Amino acid sequence: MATIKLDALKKSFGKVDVIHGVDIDIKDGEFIVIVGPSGCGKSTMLRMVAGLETVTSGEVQINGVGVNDKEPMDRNIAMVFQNYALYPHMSVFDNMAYGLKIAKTPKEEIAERVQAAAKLLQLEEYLERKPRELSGGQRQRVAMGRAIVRKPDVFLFDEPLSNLDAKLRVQMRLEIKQLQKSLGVTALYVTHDQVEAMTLADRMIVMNGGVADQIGAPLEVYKNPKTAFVAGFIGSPATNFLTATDLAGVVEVGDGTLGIRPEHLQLCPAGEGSLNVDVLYTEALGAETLIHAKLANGAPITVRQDGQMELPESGANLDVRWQADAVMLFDKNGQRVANA
Amino acid sequence: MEKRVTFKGWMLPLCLLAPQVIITAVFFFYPAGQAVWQSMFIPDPFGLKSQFVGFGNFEFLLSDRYYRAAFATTAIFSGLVTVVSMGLALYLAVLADRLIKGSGVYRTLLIWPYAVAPAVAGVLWLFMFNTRVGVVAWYLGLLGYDWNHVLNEAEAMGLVVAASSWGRVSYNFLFFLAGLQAIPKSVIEAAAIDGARFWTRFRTIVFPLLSPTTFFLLVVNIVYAFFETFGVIHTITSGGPQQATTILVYKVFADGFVGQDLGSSAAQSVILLIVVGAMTIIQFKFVERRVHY
Ligand SMILES: Nc1ncnc2c1ncn2[C@@H]1O[C@H](COP(=O)(O)OP(=O)(O)OP(=O)(O)O)[C@@H](O)[C@H]1O
Ligand SMILES: [Mg+2]
Repeated sequence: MATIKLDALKKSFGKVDVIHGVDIDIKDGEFIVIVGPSGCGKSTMLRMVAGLETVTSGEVQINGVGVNDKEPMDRNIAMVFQNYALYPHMSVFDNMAYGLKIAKTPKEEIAERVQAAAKLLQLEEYLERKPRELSGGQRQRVAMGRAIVRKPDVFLFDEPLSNLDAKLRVQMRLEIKQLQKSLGVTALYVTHDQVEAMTLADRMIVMNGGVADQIGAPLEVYKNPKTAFVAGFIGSPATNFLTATDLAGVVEVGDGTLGIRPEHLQLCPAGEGSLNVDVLYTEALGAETLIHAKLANGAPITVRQDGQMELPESGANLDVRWQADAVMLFDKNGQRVANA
Repeated sequence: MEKRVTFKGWMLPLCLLAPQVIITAVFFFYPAGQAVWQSMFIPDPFGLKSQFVGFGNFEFLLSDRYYRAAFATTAIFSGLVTVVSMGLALYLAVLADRLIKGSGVYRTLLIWPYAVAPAVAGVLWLFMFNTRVGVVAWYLGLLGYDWNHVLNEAEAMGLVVAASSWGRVSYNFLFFLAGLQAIPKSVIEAAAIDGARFWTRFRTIVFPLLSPTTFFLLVVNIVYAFFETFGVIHTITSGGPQQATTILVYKVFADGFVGQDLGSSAAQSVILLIVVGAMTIIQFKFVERRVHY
């Protein structure tokens, strides 16, 4: 049980600034996902909270107490690493019991807590095995088990699912969420996968090159992105961005851009919509269809429609239209501006 | 999966094996066979004829007080050399592992002693500790300590151990450093988060994960201490004082080439061969099984 506060948190490696000042107040029991493209500083931020990386300036607080100078072991946190970082020479049981043994927990209690965690994670049969004798999914669960037996204040996850196949990922995603809710532990979760971010987060931090572009609930971020980067990163397929030349006066954007999500565009016969497009090719995914087209000046645009609807022919000349309130306008620096 | 390579005919495998077999035969089996043969004779002082004595040489050796003392000396000497050179190397490697920048320079500097031949190293140490002109002996004298390894048996042992370990430290260091760097950083970090401080992490994570390296070095260093330290001992103490630094391999030389008792010398070589062979087999059989995880 813990609150976390990041206060103007900055990190530089030598002369390179990696985190440019992040502020957030995390409530007790909240699930926060840090999401962003590769190299934007997600892991660095998580590692600063863990105490594995020094803080250049600003402060990390856990339960209202500054922990900048505390060692990882004095922060009462647990972390699940991307490569799981299991102790290769220890059995599954010993892997999970390691932290408890160091804390000098009585033997019976260790056995009890490890058994309970193993049951929760369906690892009971594997307690005697070494990590190399387990599948990726089982290893991932051992890493989870090692985190939960210690009953920490905070869970930290660094892309814990990225080494699993798609189906297992969906399953583990659910399990992590349920586990975190039932244990009521505050969690910080790093991923570059926006679907994971959308499904897991109570609130998410969208990182862009070391800056927290937006912090908010997933749907809030989806509906109301504050920057062009966030609009482009959250939501799949990605938002279409159109400039003044693409729009040819249909909407006034000056030197900024107009963002419109593929799911907010509809195709209609030529002359009935706002912009004329040539269909290039279509991707029918069953439940939905993606139509890739180009504008008169050659700029690409993607339309997403329901899988039940009729597929346009490749090369067809059609129009696209949209509802005025679906449009997102950004200035030349990528900042959101109010719709005119 | 079948790991063995299968060949169609006989010629190719024979040709591939031949160099190794020939080298082993010429430089090991032939002299070893000669030693076994000679160990059963007592040649006369002029080498004109020999008398067959069966296991007489061995019986004599095993009841010889000096020979048994050489056994004890060898055990102490090789034990000390192994512990000192590996312990120091591990300590330095742990320090170097924590230091990311500049570790290249540090590593290069540390490897230099290994390039010095044992006999040369012996002479270097002898100069430093020479009772009349040695720098270290002189400073020790200023401190009120009267260094004299020519008379003092413990000091003589200390000096040959130091001289023999010195060059070895760099060799061991390289292996330990490589072993340490092969341990994933995240495993160490996970242990830190689990509450383990530096020493606990070293004891419960780092050292066990390093055990294959440690085991390999243990075998190599013991063999080194048994055989290759001859030059050091010969230059510094010549086995003295009072045979205090006469290890088995030195006694082979002293009895055979100095004392001209070739039969006994050959018998000693055979015993040495058996001891080292047995030790290596034991190490592989019992220790190696535990170090793989
Ligand atoms: N020890 C270091 N020394 C110097 N630069 C570093 C160090 N660690 C990370 N960086 C740099 O900091 C930036 C952020 O790295 P970080 O690992 O936090 O990215 P990330 O968002 O976790 O990316 P990914 O999704 O690929 O894991 C990168 O540009 C990286 O090159
Ligand atoms: Mg990362």
